[in-house]
Amino acid sequence: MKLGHVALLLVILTWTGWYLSDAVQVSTNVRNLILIVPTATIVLLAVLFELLRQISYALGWIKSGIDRSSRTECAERKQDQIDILRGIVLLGMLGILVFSMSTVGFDVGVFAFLLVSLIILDRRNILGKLIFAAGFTFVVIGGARSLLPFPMHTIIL
Amino acid sequence: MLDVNALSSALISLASDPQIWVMMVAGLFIGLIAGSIAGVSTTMAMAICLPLTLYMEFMPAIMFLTAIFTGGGFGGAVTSILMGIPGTTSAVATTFDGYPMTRKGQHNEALGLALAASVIGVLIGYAVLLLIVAPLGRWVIRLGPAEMLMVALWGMTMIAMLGGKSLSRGIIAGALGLLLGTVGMSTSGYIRGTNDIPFLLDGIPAIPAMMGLFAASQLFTLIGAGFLIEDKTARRADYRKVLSGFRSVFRHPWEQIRGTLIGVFVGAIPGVGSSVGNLISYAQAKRAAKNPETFGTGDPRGVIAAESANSSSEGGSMVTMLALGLPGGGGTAILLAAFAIHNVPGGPGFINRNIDVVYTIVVGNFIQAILLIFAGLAFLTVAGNMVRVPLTWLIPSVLVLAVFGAFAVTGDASGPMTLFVFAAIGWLMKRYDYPIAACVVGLLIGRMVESELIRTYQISGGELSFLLTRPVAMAFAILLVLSLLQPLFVSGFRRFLQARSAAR
Repeated sequence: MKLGHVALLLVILTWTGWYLSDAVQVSTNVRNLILIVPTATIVLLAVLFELLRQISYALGWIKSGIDRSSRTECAERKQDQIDILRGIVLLGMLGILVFSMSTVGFDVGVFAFLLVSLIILDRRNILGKLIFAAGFTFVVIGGARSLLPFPMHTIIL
Repeated sequence: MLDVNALSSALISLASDPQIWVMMVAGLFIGLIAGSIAGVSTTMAMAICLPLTLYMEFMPAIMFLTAIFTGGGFGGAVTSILMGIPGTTSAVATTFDGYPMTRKGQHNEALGLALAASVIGVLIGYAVLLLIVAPLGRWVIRLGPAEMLMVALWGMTMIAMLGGKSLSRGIIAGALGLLLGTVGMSTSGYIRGTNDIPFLLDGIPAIPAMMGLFAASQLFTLIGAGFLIEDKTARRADYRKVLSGFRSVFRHPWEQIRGTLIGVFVGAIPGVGSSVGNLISYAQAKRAAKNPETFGTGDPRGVIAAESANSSSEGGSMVTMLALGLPGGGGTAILLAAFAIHNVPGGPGFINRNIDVVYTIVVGNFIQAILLIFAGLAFLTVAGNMVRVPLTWLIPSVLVLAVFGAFAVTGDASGPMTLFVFAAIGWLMKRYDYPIAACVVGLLIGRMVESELIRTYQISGGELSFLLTRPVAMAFAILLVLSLLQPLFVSGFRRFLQARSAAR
C-alpha cells in the first residue's frame, strides 16, 4: 500500500464529502444539486472502491497484478527518494513564492525562488546560478510589466 | 455552393492590399509565441491585440486577429510536445504522444508532424467552411441542451477511459474535475464550495488550475533527470527531421482526415469547441488503430489526430460565428467584438449581407495556413532548442513562467495560488496514474455541463423519455455508455482469447 496514494484518496474523499454537504446546506433545490449529488456520489463510491483495493492489495487479499496500472508510468519507479524529497522542497518553495510575492515583491520573491531552487537541484556553479537568477528575474519582470495591464508589487525593479 | 463573384472579389481584395499581408505575418508570429507560452493563451493574445485593430482597416484587422488564432493553434503544440505542458486547452491531447516522442529524442519529427497536421487541418477546415457554411450553421442551431450535454460528457468520458489504465481512477479523475468545475456561483445563483473565498465566486480559475495539474505532473517527475532527452545527439534542432515529420503526415491520411472532420464538427458546436474536439479525435484514432497500445508511448498518429482536430476546429467555430453570430469559443468572441468595433454587425444575416467578406476571410485563412509553414519552421529553430537546456535550470525557470502565466490570467495572487494547489494535486495524480487530462476537461466543462443539464431537465420536465425524442442526443448517449464499457469489453475479449489459446 502506497501511503501517498492513500493520502490522495483521503484528500479527494474529504473534499468531495465536504463539497456535497456544503451544496446541500446552500439549497436542496434540484437546480442546485442536479449535477453535484450524482457526481459526488460516483466520486465517493469510486474512491472507496480504490481504497478497498489498496487495502486488499496491502493485506495480500488480491494478487499484485490488479495494481499493475500504478507500475506502468509511475514516477516513483524512475525517481529515487532524494529526488522525491527535492520535489517536495521545490513544491514548498513554490508555495512560499505564491503566498509571499505580493508582500515581499515579485522581483525579490522570484529571484529568491530561482536561486534556492537552482541550488537545491544542483549545487555546482553557484555564481552562474546567481547571475542567471538575477538576469531571468529582470527579463521576466520587465516582460510581464510591458505585457500585462495589472499592477505588480516590486521592491527593487 | 461556391459564389464565384464573391470569390474573385475576395482574391482581388487580398491581392491589392499589402497591409493585409503584413498583418497576417505579424499575427502568425504573435499567435505562435502566445500559444507556446503556457498561460498566455491565443484568446488572451487576441484580446490584448484587439485595441490595436482600432487603427486598422476592417479586413487587415480581421486578418490580423485570425492569423493570431491560426498561429496560436500550432503554437500550443510546441510546449505540449517539448515539455508535456499544453500551451492552450485545445492542445491537451497533443501531449499524450507528442511529449513521449520528445523523451524518445523524436521532438523534431513530432514538431514537424504537428506543423503539417495543423496546416492541413486549417486548410481543410476552411475548405469545409467555404462549402457548407450555410447548411451546417442551420443544423448546429438545432442542437439543444441535451445534445450539447451529451457531446461534452462523451468527450470527457472517452478521455477518462483512455488516459489512465484503471477504470475507477479514470472515473475519479473525470468526476472530480466535473465537481471542481461547478465550484462558485452557479448559473442559477447558488454559491457552493467557496468557503467564503471571494475569487472562487467565479469558479476555480481554470487555466491556472490546468497549468498546475499539467506543469507540476511533468516538471516534478523530471527532477533527477539531466535533460528532457537523455541521448545527447538527439537533442539538436534538425530541419531534416522536422521536414521528415512534416512529410510523414501523408503516411497517415485517415488520422488526418478523421481528425480534421471531427475538429470542424465539434468546433462548430458553441461552447464545446476545440477543447473537446482534440480529445475526441485522439480517442477515435486510438480506437480505430490496429495497435492501440502504442498510443501514449510516442505514436505519431496521436499527434496527427490531436493537432488536425484543434486546427480545423478554428474553421468549425467560424461557421457558427459567421452564420449565426454565435461564438464557439473565446477566439471567435473576440472576432465578433472586432466586427462590432468596425461597425460590421454579426448575427444570422451576416453571410447574406457580407458574402464577399466571408470569402475574403476564408481565402485569407488559406493563405495564412501556407504562411504558417514558413513562420512555423522559423519559430521551431528557436523553440526546438529548449530540449538542450539542462533540466536543473529549466524546471525552476518554467515554474516561474507558469506563476506569471497564472498571474496574467487572474491579475492577482489567486491565479498563482490556484496553480500551487493544483500543482500538488497534479503531482500526486501523476505518480499514481490518474488521467489528469480527464480532470482538466471536467474542470473546463463542469459549469457548461451543469447549465445544459438544468436546461434539459427544465425542457423535459424530468422525464427521461424526453431523450428518446432526441435522436442525436440518444446517439451520443449510446456512444458514452459504450465508451464507459469499452475497457470491460476489451479485457473480457482478451481473457477469452487467452483461455482459448491455453485450451489449445
